[in-house]
Amino acid sequence: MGFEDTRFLVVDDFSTMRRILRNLLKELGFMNVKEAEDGVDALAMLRAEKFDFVVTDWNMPNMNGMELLQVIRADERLKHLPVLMVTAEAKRDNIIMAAKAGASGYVIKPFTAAKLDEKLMKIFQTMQE
Amino acid sequence: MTANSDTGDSEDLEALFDSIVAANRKAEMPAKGIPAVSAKADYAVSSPAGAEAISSKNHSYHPEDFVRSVSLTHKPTIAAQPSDVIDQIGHLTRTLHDALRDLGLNKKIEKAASSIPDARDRLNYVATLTHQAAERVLNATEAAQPLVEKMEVDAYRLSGQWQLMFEKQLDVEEFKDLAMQTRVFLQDVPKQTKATHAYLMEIMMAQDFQDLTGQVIKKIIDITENLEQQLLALLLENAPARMKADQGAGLLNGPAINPGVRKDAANSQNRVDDLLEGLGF
Repeated sequence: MGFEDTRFLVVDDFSTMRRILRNLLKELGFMNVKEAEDGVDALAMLRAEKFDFVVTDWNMPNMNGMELLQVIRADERLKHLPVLMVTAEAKRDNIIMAAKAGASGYVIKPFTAAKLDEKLMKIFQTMQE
Repeated sequence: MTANSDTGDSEDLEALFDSIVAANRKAEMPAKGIPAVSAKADYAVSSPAGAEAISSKNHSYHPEDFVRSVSLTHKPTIAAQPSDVIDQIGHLTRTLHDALRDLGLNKKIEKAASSIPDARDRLNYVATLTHQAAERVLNATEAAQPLVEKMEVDAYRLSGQWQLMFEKQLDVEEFKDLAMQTRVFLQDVPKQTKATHAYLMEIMMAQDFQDLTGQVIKKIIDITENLEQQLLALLLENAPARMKADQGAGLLNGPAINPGVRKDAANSQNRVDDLLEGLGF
């Protein structure tokens, strides 16, 4: 599978942010992007079809990004999925919590296209090690 | 109160994240894999805050106990009539009740007032972010327009020259010159479109304010709904008894605000309207 075929799932309760992320990913050459509006929605999609990468917000109704991350890491079939958190949560404790829960990367909103690119590439690099 | 206010610089925090992940990775080498995380299996959302039960005042009351305790602690010089005692107790109870209510009111007023500066800060943040976004969009648009206009003008000019060429109105030198100009133009177009594309991306990225302000606005809606409920509770507690009986029943069931469900909020809004009208406001 080519690098650009990576199947992304973008999880955010704000459609504007989902569109921004989708467009940024497209800009970086990733055309295979699907969207979910909260953790519950995302989990259903992750269990129903194959994804290679999850980009998720933290603050969402129903199931937030941290809970989604915890479920993914506890799920035998999903636990190896890279999860990049893109969130306005910028408190130290939250960042430490995300790192300990197994997040693969952390981007604080608002962010630039270059920042997203940098974090994605770092995760891809780690995956290949 | 921005997302980053009490938190320092995003770069530093992201670096902190990376260092923890790196440390984790080192720790788990060579046993590759992701550290086990205890997942929260239970996602049941706890019942909304308004669901506190109002304690029912059904303490058992035995008149003979009351009389006995009064007669033990209170020995009037002149034998008091039972009706006087009841009257006295009644006044005491009223004083105590008023004092407690005033205390409660003060706390409620304090709480309601304290949410106002928070809401004001949040609104200021929304104003700043939307202003910045508008500036970014206008700047990018103004920067992109001349690029697009220049390409249009050059294309029209070259197209006109080529038309002359097809009408055989150009000599060899003019044709050579046209070929050169066309070459330069075609080489330049991708540069211009790339620059325009970058401005379009800038316009797109400027929309990220919507996510941040959206979260803040949701919080402000919560604050104002809360404030409304607290003011209504104050109003109810101070309303004449007759009006309370007429209007209070619906609201005393508790502040059944459910910010997640707009339909319910609308119902509570109708009740609020009715109540205010009933109280003469």
